[in-house]
Amino acid sequence: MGTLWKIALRNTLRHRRRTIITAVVMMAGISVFILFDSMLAGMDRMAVDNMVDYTTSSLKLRTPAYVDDIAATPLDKPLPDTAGALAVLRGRGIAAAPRIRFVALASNYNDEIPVIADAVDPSSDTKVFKLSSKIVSGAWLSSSTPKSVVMGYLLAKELGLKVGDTVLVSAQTVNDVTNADEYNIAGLVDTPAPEVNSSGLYISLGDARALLVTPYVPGGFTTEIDAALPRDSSLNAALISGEKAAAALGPALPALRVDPIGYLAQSYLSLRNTKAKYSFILVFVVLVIAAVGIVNTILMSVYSRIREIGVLRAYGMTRGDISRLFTLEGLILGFIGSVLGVALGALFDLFMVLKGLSITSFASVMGSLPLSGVIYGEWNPRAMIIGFFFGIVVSLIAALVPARKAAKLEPTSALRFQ
Amino acid sequence: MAALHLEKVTKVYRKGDNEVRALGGVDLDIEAGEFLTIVGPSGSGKTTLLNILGCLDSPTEGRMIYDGQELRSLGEKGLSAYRRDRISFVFQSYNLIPVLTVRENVELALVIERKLSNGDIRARVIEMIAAVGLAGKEDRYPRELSGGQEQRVAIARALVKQPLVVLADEPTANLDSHTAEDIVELMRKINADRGTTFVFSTHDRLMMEHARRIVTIRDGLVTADERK
Repeated sequence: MGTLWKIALRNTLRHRRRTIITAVVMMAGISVFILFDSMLAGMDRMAVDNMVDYTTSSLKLRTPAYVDDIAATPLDKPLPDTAGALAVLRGRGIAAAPRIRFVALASNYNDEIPVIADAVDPSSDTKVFKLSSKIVSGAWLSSSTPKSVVMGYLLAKELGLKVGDTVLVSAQTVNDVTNADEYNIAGLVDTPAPEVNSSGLYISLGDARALLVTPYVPGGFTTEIDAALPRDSSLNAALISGEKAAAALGPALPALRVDPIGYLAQSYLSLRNTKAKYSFILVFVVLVIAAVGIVNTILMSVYSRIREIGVLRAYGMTRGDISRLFTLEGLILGFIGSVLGVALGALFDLFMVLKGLSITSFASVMGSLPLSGVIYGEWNPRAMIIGFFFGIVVSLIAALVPARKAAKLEPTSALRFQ
Repeated sequence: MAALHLEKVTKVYRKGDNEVRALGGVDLDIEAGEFLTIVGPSGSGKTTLLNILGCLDSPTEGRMIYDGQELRSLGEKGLSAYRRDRISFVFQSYNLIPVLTVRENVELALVIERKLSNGDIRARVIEMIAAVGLAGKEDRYPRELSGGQEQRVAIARALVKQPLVVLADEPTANLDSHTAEDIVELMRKINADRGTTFVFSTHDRLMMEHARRIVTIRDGLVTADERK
């Protein structure tokens, strides 16, 4: 086997141009796969981080009945003991904020736009969400300025409103009666979550309870509690720790559902598999091209060494030995291409992790995806391992055809070959 | 009993509906230690006979008994194994493996054979390279050698495994007369010193002069068998 390796390795190195061209194609395929994987993981991370920071939080507590009827954003299924639930969370060092979510209409007295309104506790909400850091005009809600709202800057623009103007907010009360009130626009937010910008409206819990005419509930009327778990190093780690936290909290809060980010972002996360498939198809196409290159390289190697094959057969090498010799050449080519591909992919990854890629100019095509700003890549050793072994396997498969061809040569005709 | 015994060996090639009778019933006995030349015009069947003697090709009919063993019954793998263990070749255009050094080319036959330890292989290879007059050139590649030196390496490669027979197809055809004489002298010396059996096909008068037995073949039949 040592001699076969020696011959295979030296032949691969001897025909440098052929080897380099084949390895470069493989390198391109594998490195692009790793880059894409890193970017997709980074996009997922960014999207989920943005959901956590601006819309869903990383852990949400609601009643099971509320979740069952979630499409209606019901007001008749509040938390039974908000203060108790908050105490459980805060007792475990988890930042938490109560909220009421309801559907409303925002009006400038001429036009009205449906909005998703969130009633928040202005101080504790900033410990869970980052909305207050995305104020582009005015200020975040404050308990000292009642009857004010913060809204998405696109919603304000649509209504022709600005900070300091009055907006009329109307909603169905708990008793299914329409109620309305005027609020001062305290601030406008511009976040990476498009739905916040175009239809987000934030109001203090006190103002919302008055507008919705909510009944007395111990600890205050709320429909959900949002919690912030510590930030993890990767999306997968975040999904796992979210599951663990939810499972750990469940027994302490038997009347509530504790939903982690994996559940809250499930519609987005389900897109990930589709994206991964497209990424794999891309790398498969590139590696098929590389495989054609490998077949070609090894076939050329076979044709240029037919007499050598005859000599090896004459000296007693079996067809299997000859087949192994050329398969080894394919393996070496695959190894070189895969190592270079993983190395270049790691460099791409490094750039994506450290510098990232600005997608601001692509914002218009991102639609409702919670993506904007700079996408940072994520280290994914699994993608590197997959890319490496996929390259090796493709090379081995590609080498089989010429290797079989070489093995089938009769020693007498191989020795006669001119 | 002869080391190599061929009895009524025929070889027929079929190309479509046509049949070419390359050997028409050859009887030949070759004793151990012979220095034998097969001569004849082009197309007479010399190479076919060498291929059959070398187990590179099977006869269509006839018997082959080598060292007391009937070879006809051996299949593809059996013939490969027999070649590996008992037969060596020297080719007209040397056919060294270009990516291997002199030492590695000579080693190749023993490595394929897989009988000796690495230490024994190394010792025997060094001895064989010295025997063909290439001591000091062990680490050179074939491209760094002259034609004569390449053929010496090929001879060392053929002899290193101590085969039953060395078959050589026009081994001096690509060499100038002076180098050809050196190579023939070398093979004669090895034949005399080690008792290795050599069978050549050749058109070279020099080789015929040195041969102790000349077998003439014409139209696939042995027409003369002259011993000196």
